[in-house]
Amino acid sequence: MKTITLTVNGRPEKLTLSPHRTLLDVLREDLGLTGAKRGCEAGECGACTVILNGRPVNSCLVLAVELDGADVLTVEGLGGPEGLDPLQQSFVDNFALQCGYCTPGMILMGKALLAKNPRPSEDEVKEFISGNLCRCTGYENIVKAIMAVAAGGERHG
Amino acid sequence: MFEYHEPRSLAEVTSLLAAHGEAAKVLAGGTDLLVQIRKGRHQPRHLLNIKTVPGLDQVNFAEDCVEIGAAVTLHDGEKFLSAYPEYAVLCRAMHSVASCQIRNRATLAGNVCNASPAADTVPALVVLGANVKIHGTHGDRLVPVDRFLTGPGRTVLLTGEVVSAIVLPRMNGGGGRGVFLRKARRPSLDLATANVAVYAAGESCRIALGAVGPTVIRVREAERLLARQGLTAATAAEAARLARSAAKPITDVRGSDEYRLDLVSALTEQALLTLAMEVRA
Amino acid sequence: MAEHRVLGKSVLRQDAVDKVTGAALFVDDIQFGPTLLHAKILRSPHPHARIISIDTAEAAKVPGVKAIVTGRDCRHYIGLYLADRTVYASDKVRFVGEPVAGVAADSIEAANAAVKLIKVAYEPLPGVFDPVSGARGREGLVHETPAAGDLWWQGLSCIKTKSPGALLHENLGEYQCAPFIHPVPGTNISNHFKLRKGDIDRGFAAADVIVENVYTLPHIQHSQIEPHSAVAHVDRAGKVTLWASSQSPNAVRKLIATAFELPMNKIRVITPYVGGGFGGKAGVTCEALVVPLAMRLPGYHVKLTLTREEVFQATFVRQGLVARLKTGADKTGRLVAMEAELFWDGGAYTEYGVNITRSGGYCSSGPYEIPNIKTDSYCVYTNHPVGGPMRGFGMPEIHWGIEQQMDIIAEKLGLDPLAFRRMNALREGSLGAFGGPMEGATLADTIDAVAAKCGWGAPVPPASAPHKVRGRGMACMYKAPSMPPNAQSSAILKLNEDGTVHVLTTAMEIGQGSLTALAQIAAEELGVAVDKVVVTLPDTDYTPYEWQTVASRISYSAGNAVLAAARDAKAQLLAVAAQVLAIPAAELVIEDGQVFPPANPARRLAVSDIAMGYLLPEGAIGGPVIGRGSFIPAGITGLDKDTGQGDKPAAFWTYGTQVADIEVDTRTGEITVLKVTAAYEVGKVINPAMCKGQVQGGIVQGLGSALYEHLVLAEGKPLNSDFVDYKIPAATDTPEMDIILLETSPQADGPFGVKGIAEPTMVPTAPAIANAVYNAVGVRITDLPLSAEKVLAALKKKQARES
Repeated sequence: MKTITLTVNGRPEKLTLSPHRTLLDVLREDLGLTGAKRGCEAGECGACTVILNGRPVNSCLVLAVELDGADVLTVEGLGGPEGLDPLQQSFVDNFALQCGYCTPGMILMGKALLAKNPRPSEDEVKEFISGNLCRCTGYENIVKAIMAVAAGGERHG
Repeated sequence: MFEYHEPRSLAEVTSLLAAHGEAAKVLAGGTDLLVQIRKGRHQPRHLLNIKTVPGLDQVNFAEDCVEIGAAVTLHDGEKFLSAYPEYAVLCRAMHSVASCQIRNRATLAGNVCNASPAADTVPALVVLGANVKIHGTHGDRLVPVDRFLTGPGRTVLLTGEVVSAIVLPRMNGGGGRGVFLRKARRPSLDLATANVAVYAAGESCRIALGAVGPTVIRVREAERLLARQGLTAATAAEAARLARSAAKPITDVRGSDEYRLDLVSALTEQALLTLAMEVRA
Repeated sequence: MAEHRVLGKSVLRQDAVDKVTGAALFVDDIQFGPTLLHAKILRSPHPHARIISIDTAEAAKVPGVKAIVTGRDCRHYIGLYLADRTVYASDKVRFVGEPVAGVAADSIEAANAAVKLIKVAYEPLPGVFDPVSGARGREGLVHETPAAGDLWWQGLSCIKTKSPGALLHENLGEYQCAPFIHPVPGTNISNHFKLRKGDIDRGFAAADVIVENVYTLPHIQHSQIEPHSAVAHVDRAGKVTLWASSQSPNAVRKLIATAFELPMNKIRVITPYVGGGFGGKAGVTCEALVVPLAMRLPGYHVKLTLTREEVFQATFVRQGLVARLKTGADKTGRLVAMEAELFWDGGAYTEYGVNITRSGGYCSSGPYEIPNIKTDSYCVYTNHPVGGPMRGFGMPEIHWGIEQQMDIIAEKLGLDPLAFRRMNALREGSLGAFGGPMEGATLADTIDAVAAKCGWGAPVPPASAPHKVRGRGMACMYKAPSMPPNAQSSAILKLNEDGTVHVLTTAMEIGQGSLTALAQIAAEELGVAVDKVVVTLPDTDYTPYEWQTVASRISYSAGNAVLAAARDAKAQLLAVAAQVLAIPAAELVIEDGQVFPPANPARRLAVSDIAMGYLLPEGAIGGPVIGRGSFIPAGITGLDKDTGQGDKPAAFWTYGTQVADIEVDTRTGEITVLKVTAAYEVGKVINPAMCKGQVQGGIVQGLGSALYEHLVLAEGKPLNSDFVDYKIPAATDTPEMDIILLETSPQADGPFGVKGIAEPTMVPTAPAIANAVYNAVGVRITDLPLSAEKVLAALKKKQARES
């Protein structure tokens, strides 16, 4: 067992962990943050995507014990009392979800992309989210939702 | 269940490896290792997180070489090297590996150490003449990437040894250019059915093939032909034919041996023609 | 029809905020605290074997293990249409991955360790891996018409097997089944659907062109991103509660009641959000496995969440199909005869799959009028994963061949494939394959709409590179909801004190948008704002009966129930308002939550004022308003066992057409789908954005099945049961999509005219792409998927032939 402290969605957390547990396990089971989903546990579907130290990662492929001092953002950390994050709102407005299982991962990928590239092309959006599988939407509305925020509201779907 | 270690030096890594032998595994990015552990293919008793060794996450530009530390992620490697057009072939190959999320964790050294026949970075490293820097109890040794790999999942690493860096030769003003191409079942991230890297500097040209043999394949006969006769449409086609006969593919769920041979010739020819245009430009 | 206020508008999804914030809970997200136990399943490594013995003694000693169950503990046969399976294998295993034993433990690690220690002695049996074993080794014939007498497809050695070990279900004749399913005892045929329309010999005699080919489809998997999950709890009084990622809460309850001899009022099935279904979470898949474990452990919650590998191996897959199609047309281009032999690779258990065989059979003409038809559709047991419903329920499979036949005949006759299809399209009153008249047959409308939109007939633009070739292909489709003739729906609509509304149904939100669509129907009818209506997720103790959320029937069937419930509630509100306002109910309307006479809108009452009744000086009237709605489709008839003929086997047909524009790389064989233009006639669109979303998703799923998807089975063992090697489309693999929704023929008994749309969306995509490949490079591929490798091999063969 190892004790680590890390920041999750802006809040410090101190956890004592068995080394085999992944960040996904700990988020879902110890912190009750179930927005990151278990889809394949092999890094192929992206449903478990979270932002670790500013970068999107598959939380199923990160050992939690490695994360002493790390900063983690999950979908639960977006938005706030004043309402949804603009990208969350854009997913609502653009019908960019159906079953919703891939949605937290998709939204976090959108956040990560726009943070480093505020005006991506449609192809760049597609390439960036190509590690996130969606079986329902055909991706068109997801790309549209990210582009709508990228364009700062100048473009509407 | 394994014990988790955070070594603070390469010496500590090697002594742990020497002490635990086969029961120890090095954890770099973990994107492959953790999947293998989950599937029961590896059951290490000790996991050594080398990301805690100071300096291994650095890219060091020296006079005659560039050392990419064993903890440098594919994403960071690509970012560091993107300013150097002579390394574009490797950047392209690194970008081809899996997804953005994976590249944020997976390391270049890890991609090599896995010794997967389909590893995208390997042909690119081979045409660049890269070496693997190995640290052991008796010090460091350098091994060319193609000699480092001995078969699927097999390398020359001895018990107690760890890869500390991938070392690229410095191409100071050499003007070398390379091209990396791959084909998979699906355009978006997928393991390569076949991949090809080509590299030209001055009169010399190198060609390496991936996913069509137990390890990476250098097409030396084609390289000699191009050195003799120069790179033209005709020699590119002939080189592609030679590449095809050098390849030793198998049939698996990703493609038949026959199809892989077809891909080798198509990709090699296309890569050489693209290279010819780049060299001219 | 009057202008609608809510219906036909792209109102935002009711579940969207839940889903973008992480608030939406799926089964695996629910926290159960310290009573949670983890289940793991020991699965068969053999495709076919007799179980000699099972020894769980060592496994039971693992610290943390709480209970172990095997087939000994649940011997009842269950199944949706044919009761042919037990919850755990009892005497035999019939596919790789079949559950043999289950362990519940206080950690996943302990459960896994125990599973490894269970010792099972098997006696391997010969396996059946091909629904038409005679086809093996004769691939050379696939593209040619078999010579007369070379009836290889009749070499059904796996069906009428001589080896007793190769008979999968010795007691098939004793299994209970629905009256419209026809097993053939003593064989591996669990359903033989026969259709005989007109005179097949005279039909072919009148044909000027006859085309005969064999089309094949591999097994594919739904690949919902949420793996199946179930949690069972049995309280100390014996009440069973099951949380399940299921499309079919009532079917789960019924099948579990049968399996464990429980009354239905002692089983409660709760289905929170489901992360994708597509048929793979219909009926019962893994939900029953945790029940016997929980029964041994009162007070605990026993959870089983499948790994991705288990999802691929041990939940439903789409059945494989070998289809021999022989089609005849006269020289004017009229289709005159069609003969179909369909061999469905049903897998080890066909409790659900038998009905796919039936649907594929009675729709075997495709959306065309053909006077003479002979169809034999066989559901064949094999030692493959269990075939079951998947988006399209037989239609993507049969249209794969039918729509290529259409192009081939059109070419032979020198006709434009679009005009040829249009000429033969089923129209109002045409006699369908089953002999009855078609109602609302709007295929031609969708053909015209697509043709106009994509510029059919315009020259194909040049390819993007010299070694690439562009092509264009089309395909049409029709589909009916495949369900028992009496598949029911019901709804309860209750008003709250503030005039907000709860609609209770057991229709399942699986992403298709049923919560929102049903809310729109309720709001439209009741006259309240749509954001005042909340449709709840199923909980079988409280929400009323729904057959299943399958067959693209929820907007139609549950929609009818909700509409009836809203009407019922509205009548109650109007009755109270009439008394309060002293205006006859017939003169009152409800709009935006206000009841008033249109002649004098100032005299009004808020719905909230009367939702709980009303207190008049002389005393209270009315009472809490609860609307009740039930629906059962009327007039659906059976089909004759020997001829498959009847009046109306299904509630309605949805028609659609797609055109695919593609590019083929002649050096690698790679197909790039550039654009898909699609038109569907859906009667009435409830929510255009969501309806379009169904089409987008279906096209991309169709594209996946066309280009990549194939569960590779070697002697029954899946070789690619993960997303590393089973590829579904990602964002970069998607085409441009141009989608048209038509409302030319509102469904007479659909709520506001609604027909189903979800499944039809993926049906024509694969054959449209195959036809486009032929158009581009002149090779015809009849075996899915259209992998780059297959295309290149065909191109090389063609070059060799031509040189």
